[in-house]
Amino acid sequence: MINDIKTLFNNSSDLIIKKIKEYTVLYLESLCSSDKINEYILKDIAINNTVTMGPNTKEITKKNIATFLNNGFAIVLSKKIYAIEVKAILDRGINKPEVEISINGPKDALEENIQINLGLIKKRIRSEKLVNVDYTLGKYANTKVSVLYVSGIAKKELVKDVSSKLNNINIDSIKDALVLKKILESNKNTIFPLINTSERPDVISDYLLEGKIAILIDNSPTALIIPSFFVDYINPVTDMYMLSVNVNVLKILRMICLFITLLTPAIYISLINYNQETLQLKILINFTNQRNGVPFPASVEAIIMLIICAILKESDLRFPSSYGSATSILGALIIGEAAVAAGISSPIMIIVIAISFITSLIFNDIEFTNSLRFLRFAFLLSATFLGLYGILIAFLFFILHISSLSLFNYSYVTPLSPFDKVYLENTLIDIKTTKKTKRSKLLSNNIIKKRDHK
Amino acid sequence: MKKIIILILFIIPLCGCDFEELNNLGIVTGLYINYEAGNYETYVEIINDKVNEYKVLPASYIYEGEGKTLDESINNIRNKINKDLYFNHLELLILNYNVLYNDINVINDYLLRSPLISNHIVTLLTNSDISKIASSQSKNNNVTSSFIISLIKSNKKINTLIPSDDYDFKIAELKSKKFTSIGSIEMGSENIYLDNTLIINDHEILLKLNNEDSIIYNSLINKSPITITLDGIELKAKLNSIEFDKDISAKYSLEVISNTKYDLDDVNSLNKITILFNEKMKLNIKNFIKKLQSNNIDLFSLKEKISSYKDYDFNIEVNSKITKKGELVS
Repeated sequence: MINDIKTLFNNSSDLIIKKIKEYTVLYLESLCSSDKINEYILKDIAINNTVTMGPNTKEITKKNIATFLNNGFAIVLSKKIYAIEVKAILDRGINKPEVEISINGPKDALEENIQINLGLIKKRIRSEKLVNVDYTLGKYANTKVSVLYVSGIAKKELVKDVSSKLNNINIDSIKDALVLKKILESNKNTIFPLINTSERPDVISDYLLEGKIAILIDNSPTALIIPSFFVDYINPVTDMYMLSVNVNVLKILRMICLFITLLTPAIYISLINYNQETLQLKILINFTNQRNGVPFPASVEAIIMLIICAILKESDLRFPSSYGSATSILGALIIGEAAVAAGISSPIMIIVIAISFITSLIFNDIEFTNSLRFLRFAFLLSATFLGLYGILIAFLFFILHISSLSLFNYSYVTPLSPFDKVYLENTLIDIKTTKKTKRSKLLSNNIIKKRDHK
Repeated sequence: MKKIIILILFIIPLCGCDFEELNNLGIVTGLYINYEAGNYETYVEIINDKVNEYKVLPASYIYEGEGKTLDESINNIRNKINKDLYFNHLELLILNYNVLYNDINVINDYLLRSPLISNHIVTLLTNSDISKIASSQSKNNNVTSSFIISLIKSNKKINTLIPSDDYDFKIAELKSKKFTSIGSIEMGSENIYLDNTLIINDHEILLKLNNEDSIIYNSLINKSPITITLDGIELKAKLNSIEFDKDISAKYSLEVISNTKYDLDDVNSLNKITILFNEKMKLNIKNFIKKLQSNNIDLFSLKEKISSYKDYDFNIEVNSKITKKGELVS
């Protein structure tokens, strides 16, 4: 039998086989804790010459040996076959959020262990109504996926849709939540992320209580939120930790930033190449002055600068943080100082690109900022060929595109179309917490939030 | 995808291809035109968009072109510069009297035919040498057109000349052969100066208003505030409304600028001031209207209502109210 197991695991080096007296102990060294093996198995056999049956010990059959070995159990072979749980703790502990940083609010984030992640959410919703349904995905990886929703709040149709989608997934392995996200979004041709992600258990629990569904995946510190809308990327849930009035100012600022980041380079190009009459004479002379000596047409100059900025952003993201500041300084020097001095770019172009770039950083979802970057180029190209008319055409395309998007039968432009006042009050604007007494009809049939006082 | 390609194919030919790199534009801010012996002499003022650190370069360049037609003269200028003439920021048009006598509408028609031209152009007439006016500011390193525009703006405060910068409107007036006013500028021994308003009709200058008339004219037409000094008190008056019929009735609001005589807390004094103002304004308006009547100028389109316009004695009524007494120091 031992030879069969060895063959099954292709003589894997971490498969340890120990023979003590009439017992043979097998385990995968990479998944098991040697302390636990010593304590619960080896000591027991050496002293008592027996395997103590307890809550972590199971008697199994020969065909289950591989499954138990792969899940952090040690197998003890004698007359019978026992599986004893001796899993090693293979996680990095609960850390601070790294992407969804918020000054206020809780500071814990999800990690790679799905049980800990579940615990972090369950300690925020202490109710038997919080349901988690487990799935095993991946033919070889057998990754545990857990779908969370609050029974009585989340719509049953949505739960059913998500469940059938997960059941239809046929793939070797799912390494991360973002891989599952890609699979679920795969039949949509779009640059926009259709499923929101979160690493914050407080945010996830808030979404669950609104009637959304969260998907947790083992070995992934990210949860998927279904359904997600365009406004969710502009207005994060962490806004709830701030005063309504201040948040509303911030929300207006974010909307302005969205348009600035998309349109600034395009509007600048169309104004200086097509619609010069709209600029005041003094500004026009100033711009002309600054562009003197730049060898490229303004649109080429804008594209070059945008590409340099995109490269800088990528290198800054990929580099370890200790090198990150070096690339920033180098980039700032090259773009800000040397490019102007060398006559490759005009100072006004630096300002335009910098404004466009900085305003995009207000949004913390990397997929969303990447889609904004794509759109920025699209608007710029339309402005290069057709001026303000081109921007208008591109903008209509943009509106048409996002209006046509939907996932799990939820329109991407909710709550504007279909109009939903309650969701609007939770996202696009912020009303006082005491007035948030209802859930969106689109997300839940149980729309009253208040607890009954009898 | 097929739809997008078809759409793009349609979009490109449907849009105007007016792409122009900023540095290829010769930004024209002033256009100065003379007409002499069947020839147009045109001067364009192009902004210098190059500066060096010592700022020794001229602020603008004047280019001259001649031709039998305005187009020909402007094309001659185009041959002299390496940039496209860009008229969208044209802010000043100065025409010699001869252009008006010939046909001012030729100029207007040429300028208005292109969509790439500003319609906020201040138009002035001159009897002086137009080339001297065009280059009058080059020695001071100023842009002549901007200098003249700022002269007009500062002149607004004293109300002798307010040329309209709504070019389309002015042209419509000229074309319909209505009586219209136009500002004038002349060259002194060394400097240019703004002259008084001219009343023109159908290629003719009918009247040149004096300072006082210009003030009344601007008050009645443009509702510009005017300053009037009465017995020991100076008032700023703004026309609120005016009705031209067989009678003329005007309503003014008054602001006290200085006062050495009256007790402004006393109702009787306030009444006395308004009566004094009403009488004075009545007289000024009457004199102005009389002057227009004697020259058979119907600026306010009253001929349609009154058949014997030239000899008609208008009953003028002026009402006023003091709205601001100013800060009183007791």
